[in-house]
Amino acid sequence: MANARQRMYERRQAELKRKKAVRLGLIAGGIAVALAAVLVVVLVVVPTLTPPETDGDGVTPPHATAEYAIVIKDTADVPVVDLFFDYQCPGCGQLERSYGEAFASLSQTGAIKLVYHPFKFLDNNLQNDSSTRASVAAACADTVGAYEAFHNAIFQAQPAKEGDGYTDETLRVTIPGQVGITGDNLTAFQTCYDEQQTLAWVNAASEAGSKAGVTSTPTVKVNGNDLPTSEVYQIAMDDNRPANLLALIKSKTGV
Amino acid sequence: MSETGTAVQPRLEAAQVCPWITLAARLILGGVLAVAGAMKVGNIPLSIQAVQAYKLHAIFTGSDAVPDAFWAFTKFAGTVLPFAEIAIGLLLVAGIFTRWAALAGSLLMVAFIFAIASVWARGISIDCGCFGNGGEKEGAVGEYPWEILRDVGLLVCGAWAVWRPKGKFSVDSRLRAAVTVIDEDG
Repeated sequence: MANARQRMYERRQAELKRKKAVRLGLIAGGIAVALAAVLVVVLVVVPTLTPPETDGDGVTPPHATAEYAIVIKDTADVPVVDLFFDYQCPGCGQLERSYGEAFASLSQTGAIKLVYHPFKFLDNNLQNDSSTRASVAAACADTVGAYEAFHNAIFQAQPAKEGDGYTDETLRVTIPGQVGITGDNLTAFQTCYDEQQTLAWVNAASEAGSKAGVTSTPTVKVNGNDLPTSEVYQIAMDDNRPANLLALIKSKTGV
Repeated sequence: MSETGTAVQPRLEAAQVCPWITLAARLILGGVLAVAGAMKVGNIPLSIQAVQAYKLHAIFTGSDAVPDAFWAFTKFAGTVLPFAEIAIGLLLVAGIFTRWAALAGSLLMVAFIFAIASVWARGISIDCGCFGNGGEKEGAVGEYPWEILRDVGLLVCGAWAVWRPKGKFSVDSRLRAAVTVIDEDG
């Protein structure tokens, strides 16, 4: 009798321990499966949430190149100067406010081929969307023939504190007024901006710049060779800026 | 086994101390990984930029332009890394699959040490992006030795937990205790 009861008691104890083990196993397995599930969901969901980085149905600026850059005046057999910039990057603003007009004038006279590469990556650092919106606005300005002036005016309007960004008012009203976009052109520009028609192109341009291996702005390249901005800043701020800049650019072509 | 008390004594001590060291190793490596992942997970595009800034492709191609395959890898790595860090970190803290989680964490540390050493060797000055941020940064080179030292320390934690995965307060050990009881009951 006692022996049978003893055996039954032991069996029940074993059964309880087995159940406890199973429960612990289920907990451990459950946690592992849950983590795996989170990982899978994220791998599937995140890519669909991030905006497509390709050229979609949107508007491509008239001066856009196949490499998702802007070339206002395409001159052959001259140094090719690539400007990589982000409208929220203080260094880019400083470079543009000091030497932007010199670069643009060299392009206009056909001494160089100037290639604009807009980036929007500071939106990720600064947790806003001002680089994207400014780039969209500049690309829209190209549709009404005002890219270069608009590009310069954005940097002139750059906030003193990085991260404050640009208001829609600045981009769709103030700057167009400064660079002389009026009448039907203003309506067309504002429609383009309000509908973010150049957004797909801007996204593609930023990705193209990254794929070209540029990870910081401003970056200036001459025929693919780096032109350190520190060397640009050696040029005196006088009327000879374009000529001196051209001499510097030419010194970088033969490397 | 227990003829001479003096010979047994140190063994006993090791058996008592090791699980506590393992617990500490798990909490340090797991805690740092989970926090690092959590600080990056809310901004995946920035995480991708941080990976991109290492220009790892240039080690193989020697040029700035990023090949398509490597571009896909960069996006994948930047997207997955924060989640992997959180997952491995939580597994380590809870002590689930400790040996495998510690192995994964150790491999991550080896990869990080390699990556930081490579940008150091190539004269690229970037924020390591370890806890968010990332991208080029002036004067970052001076921080590389400390970052590598930190990661080596974490690697030691991971290696310890791979070597001695049995630790205090782990789901693994509770599970093992229960299973052992069943085995003994037969």
